[in-house]
Amino acid sequence: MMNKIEFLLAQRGKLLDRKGGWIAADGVFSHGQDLLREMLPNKSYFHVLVLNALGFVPEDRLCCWLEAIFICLSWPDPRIWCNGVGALAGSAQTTALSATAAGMLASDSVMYGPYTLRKGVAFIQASKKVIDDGMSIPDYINSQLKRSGGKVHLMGFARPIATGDERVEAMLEYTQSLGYEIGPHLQLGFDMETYLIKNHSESMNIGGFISAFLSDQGLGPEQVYRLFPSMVNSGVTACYIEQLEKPDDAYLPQTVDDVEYNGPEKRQLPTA
Amino acid sequence: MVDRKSERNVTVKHRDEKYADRYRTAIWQEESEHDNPFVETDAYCRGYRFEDLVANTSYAEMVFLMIKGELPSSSQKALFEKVLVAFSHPGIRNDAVRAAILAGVGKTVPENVLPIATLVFGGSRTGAGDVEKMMRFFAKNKRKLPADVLAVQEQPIVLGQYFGEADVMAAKICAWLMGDEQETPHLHWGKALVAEAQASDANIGWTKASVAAALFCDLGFMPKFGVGLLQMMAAPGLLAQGFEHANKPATVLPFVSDDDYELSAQVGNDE
Repeated sequence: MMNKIEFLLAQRGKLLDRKGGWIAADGVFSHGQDLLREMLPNKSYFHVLVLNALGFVPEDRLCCWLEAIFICLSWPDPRIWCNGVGALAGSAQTTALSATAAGMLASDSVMYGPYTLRKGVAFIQASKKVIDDGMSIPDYINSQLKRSGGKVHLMGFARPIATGDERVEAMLEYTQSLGYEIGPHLQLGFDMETYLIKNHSESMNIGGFISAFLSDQGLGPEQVYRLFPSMVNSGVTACYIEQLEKPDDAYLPQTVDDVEYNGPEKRQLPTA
Repeated sequence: MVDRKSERNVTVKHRDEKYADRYRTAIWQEESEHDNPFVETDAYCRGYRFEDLVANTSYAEMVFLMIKGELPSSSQKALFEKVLVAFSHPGIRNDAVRAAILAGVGKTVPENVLPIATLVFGGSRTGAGDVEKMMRFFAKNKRKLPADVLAVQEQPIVLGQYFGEADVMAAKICAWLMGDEQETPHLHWGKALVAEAQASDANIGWTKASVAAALFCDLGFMPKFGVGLLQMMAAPGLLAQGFEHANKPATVLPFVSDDDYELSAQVGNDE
């Protein structure tokens, strides 16, 4: 067996054992699929997205589902933090790509965005194990809420700014129209939601719906995270463009007095 | 399928949380004596007039002041200036430096080159990504005996390998910056931890990031600044390398030939 140094020396100047690539005389491949001859005439971009991210070609209805969920995940409203970054980039007159990339990076947040999906999938899958082992849903939720001082800080439930999430209804109806049954993780999510609505006036958010549904499709936390790095891109781009086309300095302009200073009083530099 | 839609009773309502009426900061103050209230005519950082800072302070002092809230002592200033130099270039074969070079030679628009490289330098293995966790590790464990810490964690986050061995340059940087016990206590404790760990495995040791983390603790920075501080410090090297050959043809870089590009055995379709 090669040691580490021998292994690294064998890799110098070579790209070995690749899952995909372009061989000039032969074609373009990803995970054994011929992208131009097999995928292009027969599949959608979302098939390729899943193929590149997860290594398999999904069934057609999952791609329809993913395309629909992307509509839910990115809105042209600059009050959303990542979109606000896009708007500021428009104000600063960056390129569209810089703006969109900056907004996408902003969405890698513990409060919203792809990162919360990874946590959400881990949470619903861990929750299911606990419930399957016999703990009641009220006992489980209350044990979780103790960790956050009684506040509903459960990944996939509640959301910033508003209570309720209209996207869950829309996606639930569309999911049904695709012929999907409610699987065990989504059922658990709804059962937890029933308790939370009754006792805390909080419900499942779209991240919780995604996490539970994709758990039912057999995906794990990291797989789901890898599917959604660009989930906010179109809304960020929209906010960037809208601000780019507005008059200069017009994005929430701040006078000097609009920022309050609460630091040390004015002072002199110490003498050497 | 049960019609969950009809069973759910969810309405969307604003939480009506109280948001700040304006942003507050303890770092930067602007004043205006202009007819246009949007135009600042003077500025202060942590209470010091900006003009005076420009005239009288070094870059190291200014960074320290902004992040810590006070100017550094003379010994802190001397150490921080060395730290800024020590971590100004991650090494020519570092992933982030290579990303900067790829972006530059790849004719990426110039404003994107440094952000690209800095992002890659946010990685946890060869960049700054774990510095906050490392700083928290030092803060939590520094009062314990290294042997006791290693008894619980065989390889703590501050120890690692570099191409399969202990990182020689990281250890050298540690030695270059080591002050007395009072000046660099975390670095001293980390050195003892490394020595204890190497007694059973000579191939693990400091990482460059963990040396930086120990020094950031010694300088009194809060862990939340750690990742960004090290990214900021690496910027000069990333910038210089990114643009060194940015005006040259893409052929200045090696390109892996098709003969050296190997697709794995065809992966089946799991549909």
